[in-house]
Amino acid sequence: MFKELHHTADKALYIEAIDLNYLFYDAAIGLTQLADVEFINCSNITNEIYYDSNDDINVLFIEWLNYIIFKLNNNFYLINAIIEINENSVKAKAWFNTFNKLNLLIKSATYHNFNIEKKGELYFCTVVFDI
Amino acid sequence: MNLKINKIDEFVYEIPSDSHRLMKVPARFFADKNQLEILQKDGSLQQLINVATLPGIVNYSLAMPDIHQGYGFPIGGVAAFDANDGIISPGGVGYDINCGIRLNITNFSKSEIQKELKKIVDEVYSTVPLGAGKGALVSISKKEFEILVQSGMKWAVENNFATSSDKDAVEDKGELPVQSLSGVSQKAFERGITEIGSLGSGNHFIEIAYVNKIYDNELAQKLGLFLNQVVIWIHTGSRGYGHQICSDFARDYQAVSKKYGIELVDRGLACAPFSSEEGQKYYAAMNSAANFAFVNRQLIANTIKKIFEKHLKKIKPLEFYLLYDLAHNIAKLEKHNINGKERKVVVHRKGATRAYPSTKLTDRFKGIGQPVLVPGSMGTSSYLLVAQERSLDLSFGSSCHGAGRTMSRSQAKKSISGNALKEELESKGIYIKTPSLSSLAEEAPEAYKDVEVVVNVVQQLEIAKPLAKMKPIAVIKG
Repeated sequence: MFKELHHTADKALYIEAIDLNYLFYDAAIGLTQLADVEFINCSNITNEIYYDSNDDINVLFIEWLNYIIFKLNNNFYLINAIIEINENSVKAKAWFNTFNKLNLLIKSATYHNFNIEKKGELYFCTVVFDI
Repeated sequence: MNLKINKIDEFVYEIPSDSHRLMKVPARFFADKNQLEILQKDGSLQQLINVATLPGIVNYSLAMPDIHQGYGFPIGGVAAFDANDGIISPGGVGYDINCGIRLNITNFSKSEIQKELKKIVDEVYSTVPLGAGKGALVSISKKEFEILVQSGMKWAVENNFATSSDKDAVEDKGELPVQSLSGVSQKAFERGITEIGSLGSGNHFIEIAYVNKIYDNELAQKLGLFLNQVVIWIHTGSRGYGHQICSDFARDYQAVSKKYGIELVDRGLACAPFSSEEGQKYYAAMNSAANFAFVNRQLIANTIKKIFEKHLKKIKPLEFYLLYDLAHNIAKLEKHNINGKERKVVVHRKGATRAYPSTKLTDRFKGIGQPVLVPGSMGTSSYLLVAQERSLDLSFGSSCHGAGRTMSRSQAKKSISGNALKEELESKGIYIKTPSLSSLAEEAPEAYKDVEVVVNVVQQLEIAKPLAKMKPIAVIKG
């Protein structure tokens, strides 16, 4: 699950999930909703394999969101993704749809106070996006 | 948040350096006493404390009176780090490197352009790429783009997009040193090349305004200002080029900070020693983005000039000058007198402007003081100030950059209707054009502090003094 938090100058999302795969997935969907796209003529579904890296999980998370932002800024809207996280690597297969109008240009996911934490069975984090 | 805040002087407050185990200097901020309650609620003072923990910080972690919550550094934040043993931080500059503002002035009065105003604004709106979409005013090769980002306004002059007089009216002549582009990724080049000469969105805008009040006739005359004069404000930055550079270094510096044993209280403050290879790589890449932004604003201004000329030539020949162009988000290597000794420091200004007094200038503003541009929010006044001597003692030659937000974007969107706001502003005689009414609501005047209060604080502290006040007649909101 995700929810928008108040942030004075930018935008912030709180994300909570039962595992890291869902944390990555929910964050991407939440980010896409923040961008507030408008569909007029939907077309072209594209498949993308994202990346397989071995960085810090926090860095991978922000990089994943920045990838989604890059796609948004190129008129591709995430509709679904299958994400696999193994220790320090992330692999994702993502499906995108095109859209006609983006109402909010998000520049980047920031590292401000960012840390993925775990409480009991739940993973959670807060991301601030630069607008 | 329960913070110990000491009042040092009228409008000067300080959080002592024992407020956090890693603080190296106190956190100092300038504010009107009525702003204190708001400041303690939005997290910006905690961000100011965090900055005070960074290695090599000199004197204070500072904030101007338009301080509000950002990421990493607070917006309105100023911090100087020793060039030898201090750091440079992308989070202290921001994603929109050299997001900045310029003020162009004309020889037309408000009444002279009134009949043509809507036609001019409509054409500017349809010509300058803006909003969330892509688009550029010029198309150049990658090789040419590399020359542009290395030479900034020099490129604009050589390619007839600017005059040498325009160049002289830009902070540091719009040409910051770029030793190498090795830190710039392919993705940054790709993003930049498609957005040269574009406004973007968020708080970016083009505003046509008129001079409503002059506070110092002699100085105003020197700068070519007169009452009711039509002026143009342009607020934008380095677009996708700067964003990508910041994103790349914010990522890489997570590991770099660890490599140099820098203990971070916030990942958003990731940094490198300024003198290190990594520090110099970011410094050069950041300067290239700053050069891009200077040219970006110049190209937009040049386009607006042509549109003004087309519509106004039947009235009289147009004169269109750049009064000043400055950066809001930047880190600069500067020399400052610190406790009686001149030191080289890397001054980070994030949502703050350089404000050098006359004595520190060698350009055309010697004898006047550097112009400090303080835009209000749509519908409110904007100010042209000139820097004063005390800015060097108080703020490393820095001043405020705007009104500063008080309301979150989501709160503004919920409580203000974009349509109603547009109607309200138009009823006040301000013509509005925007691709997104919801973005307009996020930038509503109610979401900002009172710019008059912010200007009063810098005036009372003798950081800068008002020279002229301007009121909007048309706003194009990106």
